Amino acid sequence: MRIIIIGGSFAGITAALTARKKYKEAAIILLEKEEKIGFIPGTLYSLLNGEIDSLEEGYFITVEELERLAIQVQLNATVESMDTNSQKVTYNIFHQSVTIPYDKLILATGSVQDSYQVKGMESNKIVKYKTIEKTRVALELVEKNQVFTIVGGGQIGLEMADALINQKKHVQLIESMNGLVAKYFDQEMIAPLLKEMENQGVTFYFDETVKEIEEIEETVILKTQNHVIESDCAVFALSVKPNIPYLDPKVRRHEDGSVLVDKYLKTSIENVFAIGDTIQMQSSLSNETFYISLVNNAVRTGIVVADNLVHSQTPFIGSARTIGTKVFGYYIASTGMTEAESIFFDQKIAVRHVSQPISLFNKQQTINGKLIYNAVSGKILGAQFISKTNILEKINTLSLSIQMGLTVSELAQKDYFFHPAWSTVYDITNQLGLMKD
Amino acid sequence: MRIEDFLEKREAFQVAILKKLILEGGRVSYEKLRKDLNITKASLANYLEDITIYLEEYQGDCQVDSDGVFVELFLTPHFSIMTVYINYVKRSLKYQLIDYIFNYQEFTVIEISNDLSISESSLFRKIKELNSLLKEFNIKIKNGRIYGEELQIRYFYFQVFWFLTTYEEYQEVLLTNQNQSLINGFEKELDIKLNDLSRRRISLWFMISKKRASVSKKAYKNIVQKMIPYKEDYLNKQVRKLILLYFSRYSIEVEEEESMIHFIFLTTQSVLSEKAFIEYDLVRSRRTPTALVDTLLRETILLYYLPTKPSIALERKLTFYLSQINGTLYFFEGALELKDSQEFMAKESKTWGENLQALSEQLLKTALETINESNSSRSSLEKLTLVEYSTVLSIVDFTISKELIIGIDLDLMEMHAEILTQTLMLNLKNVIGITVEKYREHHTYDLVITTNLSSRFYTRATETYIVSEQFSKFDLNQIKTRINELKI
Repeated sequence: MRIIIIGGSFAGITAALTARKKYKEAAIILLEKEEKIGFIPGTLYSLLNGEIDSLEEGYFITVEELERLAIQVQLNATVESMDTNSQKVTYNIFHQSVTIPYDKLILATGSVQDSYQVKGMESNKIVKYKTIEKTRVALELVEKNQVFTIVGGGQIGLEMADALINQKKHVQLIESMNGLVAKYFDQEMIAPLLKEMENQGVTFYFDETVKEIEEIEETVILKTQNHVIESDCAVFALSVKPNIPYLDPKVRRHEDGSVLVDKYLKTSIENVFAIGDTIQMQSSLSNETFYISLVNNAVRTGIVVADNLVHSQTPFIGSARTIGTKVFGYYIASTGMTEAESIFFDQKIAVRHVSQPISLFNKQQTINGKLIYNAVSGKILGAQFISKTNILEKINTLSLSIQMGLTVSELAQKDYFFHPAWSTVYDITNQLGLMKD
Repeated sequence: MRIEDFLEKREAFQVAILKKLILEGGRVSYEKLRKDLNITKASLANYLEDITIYLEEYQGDCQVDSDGVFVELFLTPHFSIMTVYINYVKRSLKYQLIDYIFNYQEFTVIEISNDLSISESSLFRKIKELNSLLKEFNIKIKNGRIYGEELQIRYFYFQVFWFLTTYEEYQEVLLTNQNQSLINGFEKELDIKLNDLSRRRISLWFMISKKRASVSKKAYKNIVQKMIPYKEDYLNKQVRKLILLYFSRYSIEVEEEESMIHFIFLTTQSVLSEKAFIEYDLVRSRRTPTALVDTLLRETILLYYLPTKPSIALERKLTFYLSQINGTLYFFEGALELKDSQEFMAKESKTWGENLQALSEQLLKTALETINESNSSRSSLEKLTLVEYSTVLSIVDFTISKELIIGIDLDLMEMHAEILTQTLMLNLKNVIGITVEKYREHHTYDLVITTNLSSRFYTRATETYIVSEQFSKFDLNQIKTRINELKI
């Protein structure tokens, strides 16, 4: 069996590694358009915040490691087309076109930072971070410029604002919605962070959509429906898009352009699979699918797809959409649906807020939590935490609760460790369950 | 444009024959058909032969037979003739072209010629024909894509697809989980209830919108201008919030104008219920062009009916219907006419008199002046608007006109009186706003239908109509005319 995987990032590499364990005899070929594999897209943020010292640390695996496992890696190979009739893939390598056959094909080319609506995206003064090349350019831009305007107030936008403020830069942030990380947090939860950002000098433009980016001499002008905002550089922090220009038109897509797959991650065409940021993820909460670009989804689909290459046997259980980060001194984490987003849910929901000290002996630091649950069945639908202490791991408990279909009552009784220096009498995750009327 | 405009001449005649058969009750003479359609005997024979072959696939559910003298249509009870109309349109090359462009957004001449199996010259000819149809929508096909204001493009596709999508297709294809979530969102965020029809309309609209949202270089010039007065509108803000949140769940990048498009759809295309609109009407800005026109037209109509004052319920209904019509007139261009508007107007005006037709004209004039649209040459949307004003006026008329009480008093032999009374009552049963009963002495009637030649006999009656024993269609028409006169 000849397995071809297009894309050498989290999804593709995980699929390659898992397939290797499962199919000892298979030929596994990984095609990657960059000169290296396994670049971590968040490297820019880690570098600016001093968590790592050089770009070279921004990789999670090397070609050598894969080759030792008899996974053939073809670098600098840009896939140009795929023909699902003859089961062949054509890629370009150093201006040479090469066509190779496949028995199983896995699309794992991830996503791309681009906008088809904002004019002027080709400007060289826009900070991007997804590839090593773009990160290198971004580092130079950060070094040479002072005023930055971030387009997008999601997780990436917040992390970039945090990193730039740490670099003593002046930061402006434009967001089309009326709040920060609105996909993951209800605004009352994120209010302390917003205040902190304002205190540290971030200027916000909410309810504004960037229409055009224009370079005039050394200045970048961002035009929204109401404002003309000047800065030295722009930072692209909008949602990413599936990167599948080579896709055979016969492969069915969703209306947003992502590849349509079944629960076994099979596309509409026999022997073609798709994972990671090329697809919409099944929601853990409903029968819907969403486009959610998260590394954990890439990795998990990479594992599941290997199981299904020969027989459809392991369904992908979906995504609860779990995130966590630290920005402006606050640890924030979210899983499942927000209260704002619950309008799309067809059942009645209820919410609970809990605020408590971080541990029995540390009453100064608090943790604020919010639970969203089905008012009728009690099933947990979503949770959010914010604290100045690292509570990020706690969100995984809630994420698992969602995926296992736990109810609030069950959450209240879940087992946990107690230690007066590290916990409270009631763990906040239990406390959220206890708060039910 | 009319939906039949997608068809080639040959197919258009076939559909015209089927429509004629439906209108004539299923049976029509060969000669009448030929004359009405203005075609030769040989052509009619050819078309009928085509129809017979075309209908074979319905396996007897729909059949047209002809013996050379009469042409007859047979339909089984569970079969709708709409299925046949829809298939005619879907198989037309012009429709397939616009459908192809919708699905692929951009095309090259070679691709589309191959995929639709047509020559390049046919392709160019069809595009030219299509462009003349699309002109009233102010959109056109050029250089491998469709050009025009984004709102207009979606509106055009919505009108066409709405006509062509069957109820079953909605259930299977359009009521997806994603669309269901959006409907939940609308209901919860805007605190409204959507009925089945509104749900299907929203689903279709969003299927079109999601497909179109990712197209780059969309045009929004007119919509941005027209939406300036609505910037602070409460519902507009709510819709913006909802749309941004909804699209953030997918890899669809939306522009600022995206939510404007949905606000317009929601407020003009029969989605909101009357109750939901009335609640919105309480908080909406009074200075928007559509709110101004709504008020002006409502006052004009109320003035017309003075001194009769309509109920609050009727006034609300009037405001609601007018808002839908005026909103469409203000924001959109072009219309897909499903009924022949002239035929409809003729029927309406015959029933309700020329006064109401003149009032409809006055309403349209006022509306166009208020929203600064010129009406030098009347567009199909304006024609449709006129029909809709007339429909609204008819509704008001039905409701506002006083209830007439009609007595039937036939001085005939009992058996003859009985059958004639029954016949009259049956024929008048569907006339709205009247109560018909056997004449009773000492009761007051607005009209008495009688065989008694002396009208003075009925002192309490305001009007009488003397019917002959050989009650005729002429009598019935006269009675109905009299009733309408009495109502105004």
